[in-house]
Amino acid sequence: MGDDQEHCNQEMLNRYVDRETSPEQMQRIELHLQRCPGCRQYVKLHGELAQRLQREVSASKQRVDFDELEQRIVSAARRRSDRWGHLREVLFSWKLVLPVAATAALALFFFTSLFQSPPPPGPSAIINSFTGRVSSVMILETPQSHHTVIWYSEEATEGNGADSKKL
Amino acid sequence: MSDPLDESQLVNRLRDGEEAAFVMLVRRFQARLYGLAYAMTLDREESRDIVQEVFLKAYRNINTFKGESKLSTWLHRITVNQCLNWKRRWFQRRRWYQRPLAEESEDPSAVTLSDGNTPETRLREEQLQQHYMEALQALPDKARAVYVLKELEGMSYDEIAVTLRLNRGTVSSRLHYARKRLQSALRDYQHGD
Amino acid sequence: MGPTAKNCKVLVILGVLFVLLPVSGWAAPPVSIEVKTVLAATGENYLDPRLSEMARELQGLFRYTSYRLLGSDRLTLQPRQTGNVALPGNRRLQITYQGVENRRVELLLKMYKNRNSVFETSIRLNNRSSLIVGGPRYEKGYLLFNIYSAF
Repeated sequence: MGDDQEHCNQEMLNRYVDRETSPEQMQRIELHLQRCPGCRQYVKLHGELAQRLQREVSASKQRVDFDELEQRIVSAARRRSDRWGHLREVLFSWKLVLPVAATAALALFFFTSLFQSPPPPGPSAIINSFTGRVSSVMILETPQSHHTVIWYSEEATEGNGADSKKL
Repeated sequence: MSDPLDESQLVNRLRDGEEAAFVMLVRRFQARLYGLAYAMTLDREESRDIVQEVFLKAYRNINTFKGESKLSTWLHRITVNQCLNWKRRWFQRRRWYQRPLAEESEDPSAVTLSDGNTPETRLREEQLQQHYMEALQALPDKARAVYVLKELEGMSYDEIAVTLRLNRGTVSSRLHYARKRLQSALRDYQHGD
Repeated sequence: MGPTAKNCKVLVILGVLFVLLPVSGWAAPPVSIEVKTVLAATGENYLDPRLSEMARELQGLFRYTSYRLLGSDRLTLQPRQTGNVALPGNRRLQITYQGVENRRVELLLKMYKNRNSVFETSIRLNNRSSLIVGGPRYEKGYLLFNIYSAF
């Protein structure tokens, strides 16, 4: 930085920029600044940046209609000061919304997992009843995944339809 | 509406729920709080929403204001917290500051810092301003809050410490960190002395 | 007002969730049904790649060497609603969705051939599972109907 390295203390320089130093410290820093272009540049840069920020904010303020903003704020306060407004405030507060959302998520998870859990052991289908004009019927189950199979022979339906099987 | 109330009178009337007092409060502080919110977010609409929310919070919680600090300090604290907690900030922080040159040129308050007014100089100034705003927005929230209270509001370290409920040393170190980051980000734009 | 409007949206979503969740828990949901028609035969060795899983299971039960997918139909039924699936050989399968009990879909299946009833069966099928109905002769093999349901 400068030619006087032992005095290039940026924290101290910050306090100088911010006028947070004692008069003695200030004097010492000013002496140092006369000899140190790096520190002079640091001080100059941050002075300029502060001005830039102030100018930016000032320009933004000029584009705001503060009368309209005031009306908006006062109207919102009126709305909220009635009883419903207070209730709504409580309802919409994140302190309430977040736990409610978490509960909803848990409930959703519970219901979803309830319905999407793997099928229970046993046959894929339970046959409550079987009636019809068939010559034979068998209820089978596949060995691995226990898929239920209804195997029937329909010859009887092509005949007189005399036979009828009932389970 | 005139605004003759001192701070304690204003607070007492706010506690009584007087709407007129609330209007005075808004009128007295809205521009300053807007500036603070804008410096934190660099977003006009966002800042208007934040300011509105700050006043509504203040109105609702005026009974928790003990008078141990100035009313403005309390409002500044709420504003900074509101900016930091703003729920859209994760989107907003990804949106880089971008301002067209035309907007700057139409702004009556825009005055160039440099003496030169050649197109090249002007372009360089614009680029520096844009890089500065981007670098400011890229600062960590806590460092940015300290920096803005210092450079925009001109608060002392003690005032910043009270506003943000920090100790003085933390204020100093965050400010130092913020300035170093900004200096580093703007290295290419620094002129020799 | 910005934040309130957003909070409103959150609450509306939550409200809908809370309304829908109990409904989904108490009332029977609509059910999707898929019926695959397969021709099983002996002779050539052929396995339709779309049937590999089902065929692997069936090979443990039957000695067919060929499984050919003839068609596939999908239905979405509300409780008490009936749907029909046209099958080869002038056959028709009528499916009535009766509800859900103990996480099983209750279906009433009626098979018709040439407009005559062949059989009628009431089943309770696991969710996301299937039942195979087979047996009728068709061309040089036998028809299998894989009935899959999910809600």
